[in-house]
Amino acid sequence: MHFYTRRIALAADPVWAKPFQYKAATIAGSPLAHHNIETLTETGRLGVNKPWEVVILQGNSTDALSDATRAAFRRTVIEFNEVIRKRGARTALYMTQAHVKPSQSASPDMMRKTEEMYVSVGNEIGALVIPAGLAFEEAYRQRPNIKLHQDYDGSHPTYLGVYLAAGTVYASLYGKSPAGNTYDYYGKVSKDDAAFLQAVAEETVKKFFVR
Amino acid sequence: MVQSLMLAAVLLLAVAAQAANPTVRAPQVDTPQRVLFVGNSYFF
Repeated sequence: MHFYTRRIALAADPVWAKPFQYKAATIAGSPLAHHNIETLTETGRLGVNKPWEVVILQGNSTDALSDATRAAFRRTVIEFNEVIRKRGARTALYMTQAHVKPSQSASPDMMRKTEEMYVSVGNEIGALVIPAGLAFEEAYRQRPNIKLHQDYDGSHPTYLGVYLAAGTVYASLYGKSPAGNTYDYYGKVSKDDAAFLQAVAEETVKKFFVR
Repeated sequence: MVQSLMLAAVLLLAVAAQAANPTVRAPQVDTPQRVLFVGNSYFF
């Protein structure tokens, strides 16, 4: 994800984006609480010798589905935000996409529950929420046959899903539209898909922040 | 009267179905250069 986002920024303006440094600290299959945020955000710890400016937090995609996991997500975000603010950075929350079949967790209200959780916790701590999940929902509304989720689990994104999500992150973080961006994942994303996904990312971010 | 009540009920349901609005509506850092993503395999 961070590579896609940086490449979109570089394609938009190579001089502007040249100093951008992005890192991803990911633990597959883990909730947010498994990360050691004190260590990860320590200046220089991950090879970046200036303090982080923005830390984007993403929970498990099923966190919104039970009271216990929703409460744990909220507790962890509040705790992590204190550390992030102490480091001089700002927290952003990455709203995950709802599952689709064959995921056992797929349900008509999964996106609404996820949206409610991210927006309420984001509002509580004063953090920017990146509406990636809403962009997936909108893309499927406009093109039901597009493949944004992996067929094998209905949960993880395909390269088109990551492309859409990265455009949404870019639009949310920089307040710029990804429309017309030339980055195409080294030729893998067709011109038509790129234009469509960029437009959805732009529309979703615009609508989310003015509603 | 009945129609007005029904319309009000529909509007209330529509509002209830939508999550709260985000209070942060713009990037909080002007052109962030150092960004850390923390999460799981969705960020691969």
